[in-house]
Amino acid sequence: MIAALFPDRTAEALLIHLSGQESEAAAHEKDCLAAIFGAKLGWHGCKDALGALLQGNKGTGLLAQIFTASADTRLRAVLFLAALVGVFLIVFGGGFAESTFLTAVGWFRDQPVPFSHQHHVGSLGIDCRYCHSGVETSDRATFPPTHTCMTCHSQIWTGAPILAPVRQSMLTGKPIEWNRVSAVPDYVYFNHSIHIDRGVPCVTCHGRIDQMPLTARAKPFQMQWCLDCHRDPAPHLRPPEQVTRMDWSDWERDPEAHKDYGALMVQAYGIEPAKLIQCNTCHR
Amino acid sequence: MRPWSVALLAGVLLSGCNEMGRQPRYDSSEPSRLFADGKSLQSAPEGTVAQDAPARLAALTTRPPMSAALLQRGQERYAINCVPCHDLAGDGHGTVPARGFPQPPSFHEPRLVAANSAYFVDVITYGHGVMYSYAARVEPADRWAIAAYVRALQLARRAPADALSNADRQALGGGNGS
Repeated sequence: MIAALFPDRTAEALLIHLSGQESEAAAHEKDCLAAIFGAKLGWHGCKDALGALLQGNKGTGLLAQIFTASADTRLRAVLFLAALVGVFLIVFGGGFAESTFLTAVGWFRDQPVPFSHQHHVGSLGIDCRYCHSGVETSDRATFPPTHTCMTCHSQIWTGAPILAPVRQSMLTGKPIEWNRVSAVPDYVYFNHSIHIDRGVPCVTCHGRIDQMPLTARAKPFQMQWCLDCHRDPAPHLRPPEQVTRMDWSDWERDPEAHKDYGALMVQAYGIEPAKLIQCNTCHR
Repeated sequence: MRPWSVALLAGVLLSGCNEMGRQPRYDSSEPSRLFADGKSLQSAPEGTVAQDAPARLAALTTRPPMSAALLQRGQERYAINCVPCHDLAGDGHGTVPARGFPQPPSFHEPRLVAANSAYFVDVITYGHGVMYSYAARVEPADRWAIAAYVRALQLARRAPADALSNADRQALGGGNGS
């Protein structure tokens, strides 16, 4: 701070300059300078001395020599940067950037119908692609149209009040307004089909959806998390024909038995991790 | 304030905005204020013919040659779209009928064994009884693949053991007898 305020004068030079003057004001300023540059005045004395210094314009005019014309701006800039550092410390050092408050991991979202993946995937064993039918061929997983819901619910739970919005949607042709749970920012161009085709299982990004009574985001969906996989894709690859399988504990329990699979498939598919981490892989 | 400090302040304040994260564009299925019905995904005007319509029609009306790849594709599509009701073996004891959906007929009943493959493609395309159409979910070529796999399921229940090769019989654990 002091260095920023006094860029081109040293304390010593100033003290020498002042020692040549005998006036009361000069003596006072000398005390002040001594206070600033480490004389033994203690905090309170130093504060008083500084106050005197700041009011010292009536003195010898030395204050103008001590404080350069830009000193005020410099002080503001230093204070501003200090505040900025404080904010960064809270955001990154304090864990705010990784907090679920920001990443929404594990936070259930309100939906017009309390749809349970646990029931439909876990209990009934319906494949993900029954409803998300476009996931293998398009960039989006695709939301099922109401027609898909009504394939079963035209016969089952036909009077259930919680399904009223589904029936209403079928009647009017107005889609149900689901709230998105997993989303990437608009400057990220994620493509589901290539990940499915290469055998990145649904569970890798969406978690144990078969155990979620209501749907929540399972992973942080931050760039660091994407890169973790893009830097070293091999351990994350699985046989594409089992891509919707949820429980891979047997595979992960025995890494030795599967240690070659990922490496071989990376070769077979021609995956180049160096290309996967280029900016324009995801940002276009 | 000096211009550079104004610029610095503006830069820092702007970094708090995330305008690039929510750009003024429509992602698929997003609501829209542009159209009267509030959808960004507009259906094509009436009478529109898709460019691939002839190809899809051809795929729907032409039975592809039987092959192992066709059966494999059929098995996969059958597992995704049919198993919830028709079950893995085609008896109609799926998890959804177990929860109250009317039970579908077994693929092994004489009427369906006698039916030709085009009949199954037709039912997938247009639905049948309480079964909805799957035209929007299963591509025409995949409907033939599923029909071929249903044929395989039927054959699995009815094939005489004598018709199997020795290797097949051993693989099935039946020894070399009947």
